[in-house]
Amino acid sequence: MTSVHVRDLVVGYGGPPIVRAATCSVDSGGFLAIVGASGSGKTTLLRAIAGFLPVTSGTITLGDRLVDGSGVCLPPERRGIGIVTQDGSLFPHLTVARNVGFGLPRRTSADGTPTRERVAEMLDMVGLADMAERSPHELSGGQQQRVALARALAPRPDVVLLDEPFSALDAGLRTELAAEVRELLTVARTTAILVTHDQGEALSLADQIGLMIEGRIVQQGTPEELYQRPGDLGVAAFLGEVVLLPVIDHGPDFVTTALGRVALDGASGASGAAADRLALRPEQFTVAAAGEGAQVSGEVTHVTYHGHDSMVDVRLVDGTPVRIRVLGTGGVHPGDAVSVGVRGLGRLL
Amino acid sequence: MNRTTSRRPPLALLVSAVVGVVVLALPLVYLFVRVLDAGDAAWAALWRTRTLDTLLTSVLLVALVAVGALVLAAPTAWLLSRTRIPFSRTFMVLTALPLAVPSYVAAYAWIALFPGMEGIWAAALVMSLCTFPYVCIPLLATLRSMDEGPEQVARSMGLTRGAVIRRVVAPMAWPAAGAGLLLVALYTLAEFGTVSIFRVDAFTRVIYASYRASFDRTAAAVLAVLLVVLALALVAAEARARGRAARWRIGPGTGRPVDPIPLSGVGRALGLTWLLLVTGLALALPLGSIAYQLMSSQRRAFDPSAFVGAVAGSVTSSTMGAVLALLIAIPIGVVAARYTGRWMRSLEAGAFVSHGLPGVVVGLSLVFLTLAVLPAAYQTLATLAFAYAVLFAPKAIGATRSSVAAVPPELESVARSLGRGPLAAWWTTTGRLAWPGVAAGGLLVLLTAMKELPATLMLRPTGFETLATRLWSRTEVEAFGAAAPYALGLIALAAVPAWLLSRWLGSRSPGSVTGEDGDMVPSSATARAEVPA
Repeated sequence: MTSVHVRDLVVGYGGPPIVRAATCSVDSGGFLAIVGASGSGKTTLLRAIAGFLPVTSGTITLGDRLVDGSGVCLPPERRGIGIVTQDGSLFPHLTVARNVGFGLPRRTSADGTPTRERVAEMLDMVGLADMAERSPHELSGGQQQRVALARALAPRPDVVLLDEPFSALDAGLRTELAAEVRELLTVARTTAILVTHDQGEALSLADQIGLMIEGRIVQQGTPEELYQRPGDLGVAAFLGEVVLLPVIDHGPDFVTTALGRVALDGASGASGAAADRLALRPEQFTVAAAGEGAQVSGEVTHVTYHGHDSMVDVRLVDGTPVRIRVLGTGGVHPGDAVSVGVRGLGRLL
Repeated sequence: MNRTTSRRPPLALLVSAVVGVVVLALPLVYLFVRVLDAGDAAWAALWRTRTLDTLLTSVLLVALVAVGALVLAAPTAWLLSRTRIPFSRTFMVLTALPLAVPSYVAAYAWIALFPGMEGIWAAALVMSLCTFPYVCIPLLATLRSMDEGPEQVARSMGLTRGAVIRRVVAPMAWPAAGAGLLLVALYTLAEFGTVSIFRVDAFTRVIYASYRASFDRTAAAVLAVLLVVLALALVAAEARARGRAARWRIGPGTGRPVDPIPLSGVGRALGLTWLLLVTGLALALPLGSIAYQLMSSQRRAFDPSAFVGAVAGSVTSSTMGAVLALLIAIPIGVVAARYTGRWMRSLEAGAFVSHGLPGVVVGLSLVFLTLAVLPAAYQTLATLAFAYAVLFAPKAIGATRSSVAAVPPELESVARSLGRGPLAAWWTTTGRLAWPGVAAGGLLVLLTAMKELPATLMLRPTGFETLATRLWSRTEVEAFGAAAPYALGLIALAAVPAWLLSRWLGSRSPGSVTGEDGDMVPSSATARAEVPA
C-alpha cells in the first residue's frame, strides 16, 4: 500500500509522444480511475507506471520511492506493482492455483505464510476455491478475470493497475464484477489505478478520476467534482450529456437565459469569449404539464425511452432546444406543450 | 496493450539476429562477388549459346511441369469437392501423399521400371506427378469453402453449369491455384536429382557438371547467379500471389457451401477411372517399382552395413544442420514476432533470401567460399551442416516467428510485474509456450535436410554417405535393386514434412475452418516456411 505520484510524464514509442506531460496522483489505498477515449494514451500511461515503457521525461514516485525519472528506471519486477489486463492474460500452461502462485516464492512468503495457504486464501477471496486445479481455458471470462486479480494481489503488491479489466465481459457481469473487485481492493487496502473508457464505470467505482485527453490529464478530482464542476466543455461532455444555453445577460452570481435566471456555481471556471454559454446537465431541468407554475413553456419534439429513465427533447418558445432527463417516461409525449424549469447551479464554460 | 511492442529489441538479441542474417546471406553474396570479380570472363560465359540453351531448357521444363500439375490437379480437385464421387475421403488423402515421394526417388522408381526413359518429357511427367498436390490441395480447399451465393446468382442469370465454372468458379479459385503453381515452378527450377537422372540439361545439372569438370567454374558461377535470379523472381511472385489470395478471403462462417452434384453411372465410372489413374501413376507406380526392386534383387545386392552407415550419415549431418539452423533462426524469429518497424521487417526479409535457393547454388558458393577463405573447411561435415542451415533456416525462422507470435506479450508483462527478471519472465512464459513449435521447426529442418542431394554431393567429406547420396550413386550405375532400400528410407523420412505441408496448404485457403483447425497453430507454424527441398 502506497501512494502514486505521476508528474509531467512524457512517454512515447519513438515517434511523437503518446503521453504528453501527464500529472496525476492517488493516495495510499485510494482508487484512481483514468478515463479517456481510445487513443488518448491511458494504457501507455499505465504501462509506464508498471515499468514496461521507459519515460522520456517527468517522474513517477511510489510513496517516497522514485521509480522513474532523473536517470532512475526501476525494472517492473522490482516495483511491486500488480497488473490485471483486459483479457486476464492467464498463463495457459498453468493451472489456476499455479497462476495465482506464480508471483509467490516456492514455499513460504516473507511474512511466514506458506505459499499454498496464500493461494488458497486468494482463491477463496475471489470465490473460486473449488477451481484451483482447473486450466484457464475451462473458466468463463468473469472467472478468468477473478483469477487474474487474485494472481495480481497474491504477492501483496503496493499498487494494482487494472487495464480495462471488465471491457471484455458482457454488461450484466461487468457491473457485478466491477463492484466485487472494488470491494476486494478495499478489503486488501491496495492502491489501485483503473484505466477505462467507460465513464459510468469510473464514476461508480473510483474515489478519484483523472480525465485524459490527447496524452494529458486535463482534470483530476472526485467523481462528483468532475461531473458537477468540470473545468471545460471537453471534460463535461466526456462524463455525461451537457445542455448549453445561450447567456442573455450577466448578473453578479447569476446569468439570465431563455429559462430565466440561473444561479452560478461559485468557482465557475471559464470566462471571456467562451463565457456566454451556460452548461447544465439534463437532470437539472424540470418538466411539467403546460401552465403548472414553472417558468418557460415549450413543445416536446422527441422522447427516447431507456427504461428507468427517458430523454425528452423540448424546443422552448424562443426556439432553444434543451434535453431533459426524466424518470420513467415522465408522462410526456411528442407534441405535448410543457413548462420547463431549472434547479441547481449552472456553470459557464 | 499491443500485440507487438514497437520498442527496440535488447541489444544482444538484435546483434544475434543481424549476425544470423549476415551468415545466411553470406554464400549468396559471395557468389555474386565472385561473378563480379571474374569480370570479362563472366561476361563471356553469360553470352555463350550454352547459357541460352540452359535457360530455355529450364524455362520449358518449368512450363511443362506447371501445365502438367494443373491438368492433373484441376479435374481431381473438382471431382473431390463438387461431385458425390464415392471414396472421396480416401482419395483426398491419396492425392496428398505424392508429396511424400521426393521427385528424384520417383525418377529412380520410373527409370528402374523403364530403363529407356530420358529427356525433358520424361522429367516433366514425373515431376508433374510429384508436384500436382501443391496445386490440388489448396484448390480443393478453395472449391469446398466457396459460398453457394455467387454460383446461384450466375445460374439465375441464365449461365449453364459449364459457363459458371468458366466465368465464376475458375476466376475465384485462380489465386489459390496460382500460388500453388508458383511453388511447383520453384520446386522444378531447384530440382537436381530428377533432371540429372533423365539427362535434361537444365540449370542444376549443367551447374553441377561444370563444377565437376572443375576447369570451368566461372561458367558454373554465372549460371548459378542466373538461376538465383529466376528463383528469387518466383519467390517474390509467390509472396505477392499469397497476399492476393488472402484478400479474396471471405470471413469464415459467412456462407453456405455448394451442394455437390450427383453423378450418373457413366460419370461415376469416368471420375473413378481418372482418380485411379492419377493416384496410380503418382503413388502406386513408384511404390510398386521400389517394392519390385526390393524383392527381385538378389540378397547380396543389399549391404546392411552400408545402409546403416548411410542412415548414420544422414542423421549426423542433418542433426548438425538443424541445430545450427535453430541457433541462427531463433533470434531472427523472435525479433520478427515481437518487434515492428521497417528495420525489423527488412531483417526478416533478408533472412528469407535463402528461402527457395536451389541446393546446387548453395553447394557451389560454399565450395568457392571454403576454397578461397578456409581451405581446411572444404568438404567437411561442418560445411555440409552449414549448407543445410542456410538452405532450411527459413523454415525454422517461420516456426519460431509464429510460435512466439502466438504467445500474447502481456504474459511476459504479467510475469515481470510478479517479480521475474526479464530473462526469467521470457523463459517461464514465452519460452515455455513457444518451444514446442520451435522444436517442431527444428525437426522439420532435420527431416528436410535428410532428403537434400546436390549440396550434399558437393560438400560432403570424401567417403561420407547419406541415404540420398547412396540412392544417387546406385542409380547412376543402374544398380536399381541396390538402390531400393535407400529409396524406401527416403520416402519414410519425407512422409512427416509432407503430412505437415498438406495440412498447411489446405488450411491457408479461404474459409477452410473445420473442427480440427483449433490445433492448427503449431503445425501450420512449422509448415509456414515449408518449401520444396
